[in-house]
Amino acid sequence: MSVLAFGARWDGGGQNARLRQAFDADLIDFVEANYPVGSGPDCDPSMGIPVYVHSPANSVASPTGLNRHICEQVKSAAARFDSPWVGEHLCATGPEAQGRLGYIVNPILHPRLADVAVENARALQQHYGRPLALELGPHYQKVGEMPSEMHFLGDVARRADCQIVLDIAHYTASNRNLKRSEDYGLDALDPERIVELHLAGLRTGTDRRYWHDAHERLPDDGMMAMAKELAKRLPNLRAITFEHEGKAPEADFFAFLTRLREELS
Amino acid sequence: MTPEEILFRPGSERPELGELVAVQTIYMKLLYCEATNAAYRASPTAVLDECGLPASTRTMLPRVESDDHRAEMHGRRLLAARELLLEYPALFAAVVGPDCDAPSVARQPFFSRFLSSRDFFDPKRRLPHAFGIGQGYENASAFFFWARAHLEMGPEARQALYENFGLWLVKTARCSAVPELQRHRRGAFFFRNDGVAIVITGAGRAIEYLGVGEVGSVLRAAGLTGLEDLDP
Repeated sequence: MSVLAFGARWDGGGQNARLRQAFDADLIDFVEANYPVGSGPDCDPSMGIPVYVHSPANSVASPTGLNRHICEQVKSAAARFDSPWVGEHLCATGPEAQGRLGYIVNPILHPRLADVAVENARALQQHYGRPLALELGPHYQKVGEMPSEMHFLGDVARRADCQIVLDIAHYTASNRNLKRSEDYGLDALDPERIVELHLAGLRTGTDRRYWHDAHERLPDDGMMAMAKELAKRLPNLRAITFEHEGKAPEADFFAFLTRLREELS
Repeated sequence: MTPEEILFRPGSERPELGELVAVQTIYMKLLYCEATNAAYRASPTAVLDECGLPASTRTMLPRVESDDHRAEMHGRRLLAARELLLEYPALFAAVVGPDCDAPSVARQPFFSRFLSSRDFFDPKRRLPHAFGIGQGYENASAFFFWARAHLEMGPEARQALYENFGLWLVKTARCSAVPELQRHRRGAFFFRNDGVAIVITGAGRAIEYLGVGEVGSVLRAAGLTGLEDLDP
């Protein structure tokens, strides 16, 4: 395992005070900023802290093409902050190159869509001039002929020569939603491609059946154990990002970062 | 092709991807649109045929009768309802009920009609996003354009729709560097059913304007946006 950097997700200026405090207390080494962002004074994630650039808004796994405005903003931020890689979701966003209906749309798990995603990911990596790290959203259903979204991700990352962000909350939610084992599909990924883990809480809906990403909550012990196990065995893991929304309790934020440092450093 | 040609070339210039785009479009409609789900449940091949797709593409689409698909649809409806409830509290209080929440908004038949509409699926039927990334990245303006044309409303609900949207528009314009939005910074106006003009000020307040003569022309000349004929 290489030296791990610890970070926290940045969604806007409302989080700056607690992120700055966490950095000053040596609890985080970077913030992971989610693009696109606005242009106001509250829209600068740097604060003198290293920034990893991430975008959940690009339709990398879609035949529609991508939004040039978002790509340019991400590229510019990645260059400005010298982001070691750019995180991108393996998803579609809307029926056209521009637009997002709401939450990201998981890719159709079909070899033809995988070919498109490979072509897009390669091109985006070249456009950014730095590595791309691909991430999956949480899944509620399997759409398409490939065995799973993990196989889709593994195939695309391998053929496009991309890195991977493994979001443990999304992965765990998908496994629970699709009634799979807690470690389903990890063997479909090349372990050496995983450079970053995301950690966040989960919750069920009112039906108590389906699990959802919950940035207002903390990761449970099972996800923490998985993070520790992965940190031991992934040869190129370089970063762990805690995703906790700015409106969630500050005490939880600092307590979990402290635990993360203690248990994974 | 250069990376930029691959990423940004219009779909019309990549006919080899046309079938995949068509399949993906149906997939997205199945995630939101009850009418498409009903039609697809009744006859998948008829829906595919209508879009010029072979029956074999059915394997690329959800099993719409499954609990998993219904759960994903439900979650997406709730997220959309939550987004709109934040911006249209007075309207939803008027048309759904004073204590309505996102689940109760999501259950409304009018909400299903919105999620099935062209206003929802077509990014060009929205205003540009405040972050300078183009149209199609929020639902507040899509919902306004749809509701203005299609939602049956009494006078109170109509006033609430225009006030809620006007406040959102002015707030969004004031925090954006996008020129098409900045022109709404000075405020907006509309006419109540009784003919009185309501002005949404640049400071985000709704007030009655009791001017005389060509009130609309006066307010437009003052740089205010008329909400009744605002287009995406």
